[in-house]
Amino acid sequence: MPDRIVKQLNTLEKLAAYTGPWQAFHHASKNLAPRLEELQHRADTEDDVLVIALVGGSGVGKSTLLNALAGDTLARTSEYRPCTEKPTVYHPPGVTLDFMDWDTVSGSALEHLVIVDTPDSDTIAKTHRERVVEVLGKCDLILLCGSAEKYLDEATWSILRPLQGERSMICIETKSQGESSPIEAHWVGRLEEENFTVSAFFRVNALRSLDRKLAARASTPEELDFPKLECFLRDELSAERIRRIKCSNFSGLMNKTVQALETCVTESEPRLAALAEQLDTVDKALTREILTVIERRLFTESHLWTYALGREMGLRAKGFVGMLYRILESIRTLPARLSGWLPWRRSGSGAGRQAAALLTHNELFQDDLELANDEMALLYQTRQSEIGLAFAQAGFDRPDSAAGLDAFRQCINERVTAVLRGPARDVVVLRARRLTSWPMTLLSDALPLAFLGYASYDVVQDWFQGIALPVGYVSHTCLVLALLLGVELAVLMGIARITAWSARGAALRKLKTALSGTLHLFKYEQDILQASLEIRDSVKSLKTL
Amino acid sequence: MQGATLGEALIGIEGALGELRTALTEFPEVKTTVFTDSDAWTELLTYKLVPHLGGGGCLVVAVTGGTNTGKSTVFNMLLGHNTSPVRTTAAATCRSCLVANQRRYEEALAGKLVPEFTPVALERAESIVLRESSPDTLYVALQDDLPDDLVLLDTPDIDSIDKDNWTVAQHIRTAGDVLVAVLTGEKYKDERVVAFFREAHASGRVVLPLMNKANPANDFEIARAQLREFQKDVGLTDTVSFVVAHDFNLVEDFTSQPIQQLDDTGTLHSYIESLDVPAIKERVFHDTVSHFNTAAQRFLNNVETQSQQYQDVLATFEALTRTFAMQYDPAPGADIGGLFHTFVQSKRGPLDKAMGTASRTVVKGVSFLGKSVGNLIFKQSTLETPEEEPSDALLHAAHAKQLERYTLELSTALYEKALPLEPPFNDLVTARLNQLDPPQTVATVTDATLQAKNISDEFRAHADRMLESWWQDNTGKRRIIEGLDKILLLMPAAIAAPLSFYTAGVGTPEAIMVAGPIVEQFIARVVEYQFGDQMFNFLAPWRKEQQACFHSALMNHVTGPAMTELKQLVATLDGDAMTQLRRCMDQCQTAS
Repeated sequence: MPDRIVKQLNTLEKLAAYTGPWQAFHHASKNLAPRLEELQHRADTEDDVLVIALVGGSGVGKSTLLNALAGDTLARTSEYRPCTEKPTVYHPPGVTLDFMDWDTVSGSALEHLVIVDTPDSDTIAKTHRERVVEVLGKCDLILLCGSAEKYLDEATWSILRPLQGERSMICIETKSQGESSPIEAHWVGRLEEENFTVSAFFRVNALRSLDRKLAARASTPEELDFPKLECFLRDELSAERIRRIKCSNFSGLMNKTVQALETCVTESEPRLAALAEQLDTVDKALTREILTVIERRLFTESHLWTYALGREMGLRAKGFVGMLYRILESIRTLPARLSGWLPWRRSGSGAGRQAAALLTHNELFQDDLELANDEMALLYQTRQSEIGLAFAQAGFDRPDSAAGLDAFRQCINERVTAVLRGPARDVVVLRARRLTSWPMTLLSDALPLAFLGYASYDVVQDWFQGIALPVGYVSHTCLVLALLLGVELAVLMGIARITAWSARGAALRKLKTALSGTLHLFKYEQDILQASLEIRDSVKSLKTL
Repeated sequence: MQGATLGEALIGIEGALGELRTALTEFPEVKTTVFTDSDAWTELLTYKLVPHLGGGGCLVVAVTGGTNTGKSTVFNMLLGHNTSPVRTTAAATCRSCLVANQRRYEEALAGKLVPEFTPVALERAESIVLRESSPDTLYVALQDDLPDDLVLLDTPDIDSIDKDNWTVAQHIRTAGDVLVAVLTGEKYKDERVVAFFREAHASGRVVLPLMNKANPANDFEIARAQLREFQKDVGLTDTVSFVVAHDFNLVEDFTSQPIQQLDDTGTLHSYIESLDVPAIKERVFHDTVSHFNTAAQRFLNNVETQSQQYQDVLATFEALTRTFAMQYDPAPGADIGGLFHTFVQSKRGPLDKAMGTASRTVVKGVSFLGKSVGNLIFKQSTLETPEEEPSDALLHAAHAKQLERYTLELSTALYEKALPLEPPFNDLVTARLNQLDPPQTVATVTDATLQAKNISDEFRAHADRMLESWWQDNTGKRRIIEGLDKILLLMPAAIAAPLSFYTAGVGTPEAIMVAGPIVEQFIARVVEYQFGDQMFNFLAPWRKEQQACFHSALMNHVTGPAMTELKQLVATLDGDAMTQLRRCMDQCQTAS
């Protein structure tokens, strides 16, 4: 088997096994299963014998023709209709076939051919018709029989119509008499009007040929095309030709199969596109809504950012003022840090504390960030309903909403955690670094140091002059120093507060950029759509193969 | 008298069917479904039964059969004249041809004899085998030697591969009183042929089997057996059969050959002439009516089942709407604990009111202070923004979201319910649902439910109404409450006054004056929290009211539009036309 066909069959197998939520495709994939089976069977039996079916209305002489070809009375013939009940299989010796309960007769001299005589397809015996359909399913070449009495036969044609393009067909006019055929042009013409392709036409009078064969005489011109037909079956149907017929049958069926799939897929293509577009729009809208909620919950209150910046500054503060700031900071954040260990800490969702923890290097609390509250869940569910409607309209089963909600929570938490831990923390740390850098430290320490130096100078100078400074001088100096330090600390804390606010703004911008565009919040829906698009693509690729 | 009643009933049925057809013109696909398989019997009604009531018809003998069985040959033999062209190829005759004497000829041309066809005078015999005219053309030829009460009809094949001919075959079955079934050895058992004649026999036609191209050997032994089988399959009993031997055309001018009756000396020609036309006509009419009755009854039952099915669907839709409306869970933002207290206070006298206002101001100040300090500590210790009472806009938005969600869910559910329905009906619903623009619908439903009002105000108004009616109805309880309120209001002052007399107004009375209102508010709240909701049950009726509001909005803007056509359809299928049809059917059945 060529690679191409193996690939096609594999793709078809995958498509036939589809049981996903795309209802619109289910119908196509259900129809595909029997066709695929036949395709596989045909691909496997490419080198087997050629199965020829004698098909036609009741009384046109199918059985007689088989008898004439065999030269013996294999099948019963009669004036009464319908006469043949079971298909008769005439095959060369040594061929085993799965022909169920049909009558099989071995001994054909035509080595590579199996000829099957079918029951009628047009009488009131319905089971006969079903048997004909069975035979047609297994055959490779159809010999359509018709007599002058009966050749435009809707009952038979209606069975053959679904097989158009999948089987080669040869017309045989039976019970023919006289020189020319009055019906050939009319019959073949009508068949072609109905889009049947007739590859050959023979006129026979099987009864005469059978009589001649039984009497063992040489053939006479009275038999019309019968010798030609025999010659065709014996010589012209070479192994090469048989393979060609089988190949053409196979590709006919394949084309039809692919065509059916393509029609289904092409029909729903605009819907899929619209769905993808809507999913994108809804995703964006939900992202915007979620962003406003996060902003309201984490970014409107400054205390969180002050806390985070304070913690970072406390880690890095240097110098004299820095030392004092450190002490002050550790006292100020004591309640927040303590409450983690206190029994009544479990109040509220804890999102703020977790966010603060994420923003600082020392992750005090090990819990995962849980941002998605009921408000967000409602927002999500509303959007999900919108998508659900669109999916239902496009012929999909509803996606599982509970699983979707879980995925959404996880997605939001992950995204926001990533931003808080990454860019937002960087923003905070950068500002803390700047505020605790050496120049800043020197700047803040310069004044108290200068004052201290000046006071020391005074003390030393007076010492050498032998003046004892009054006790009041020391306390006065200490008071000034304390005031100085107090003012500096206050300024530093004020600057920290302002910086924290600006850090909040910068982090918000980072969050906005991180959450801009599509977030793929509807993961399940996205996956379903993706699977459908893949199906579409594989059907398209089948076409190009 | 009986005839007249039957006639009225038949005309009534025809009228009702026409009405039903007109009523269903808006739904072409539904019309097709409703009238599936009804062509045969409605045609019987229109073209056979109703015209028969006019009386004075003649016997229509139609020569029918499968492709290439030699209908035209038999027709010509019957006429004794080459009227219909004969070809060796199959399906040559593709238009019907009627032969009659002068009077019937004119009647036929006027369209009176076989009204389902368009009559055209036959000018060229070739027209019958050419496919130039429309399939329901009837060529009419004149032959004077025919009796007055007999017309002959040559027909195209009944098992044609041309779909057009199938309707023609049906017309012919309706038109003919006597059908000559032309059979051959190949065709006598064909499913389509047998089915055609079985239906013809069942609907009251006289079927005369004729074996054409028969083998005359052994006194037509084979033909006899084949004819017997055919009669058994079709359900004919006690029928005369005819044969034409396969070698009849060896004789020159075979059209003059008679068509032999099997087992008798008669010919088809003489048999037909010997028929008692009025009796046959009457019998055909009678059988046709009884066949018609069964078919029409089946149709009626069918329509009723369908109508019931759609009513069930409508009921399911309504139930779905109710389910989704019940899921709506409105929550007022205002704390419901203080409502009763506020209400009682509003009923105070002017002096009491002033005192109450003062005490409330004190309480408000204290609670604001407490809250601020509490929040500060809370924020500092938990880094959490305290949950605040949501603003009106947020509250409104949250409710709108809920409404949006359930509206969309309902649309989806309706869609999912509608999709598995049978083809023309699911389209009726889904097409409507597709027309609904989801955002637009959601906006309409939300507006209709929330009525652009503030949800807390709405709730407060509702609670006030309830309290007011309670206040009016329960005078006894009201007095107790008023008394309690007075005590609570005046207690601090009552305690403070003597105390201030004894302590010369230092400290304690002032403290009591400040603490008093707080205690009062506190006690009032506690009492109300304990008993208020039990007494008034504010929330449940309000919630129900809101849900009902949502339900009616959904019905008006989602389910209603989705059901419009289905409802209209059910009304049509259950309307006047059907009532009349049912009545006339009953009448028809009793009359026959």
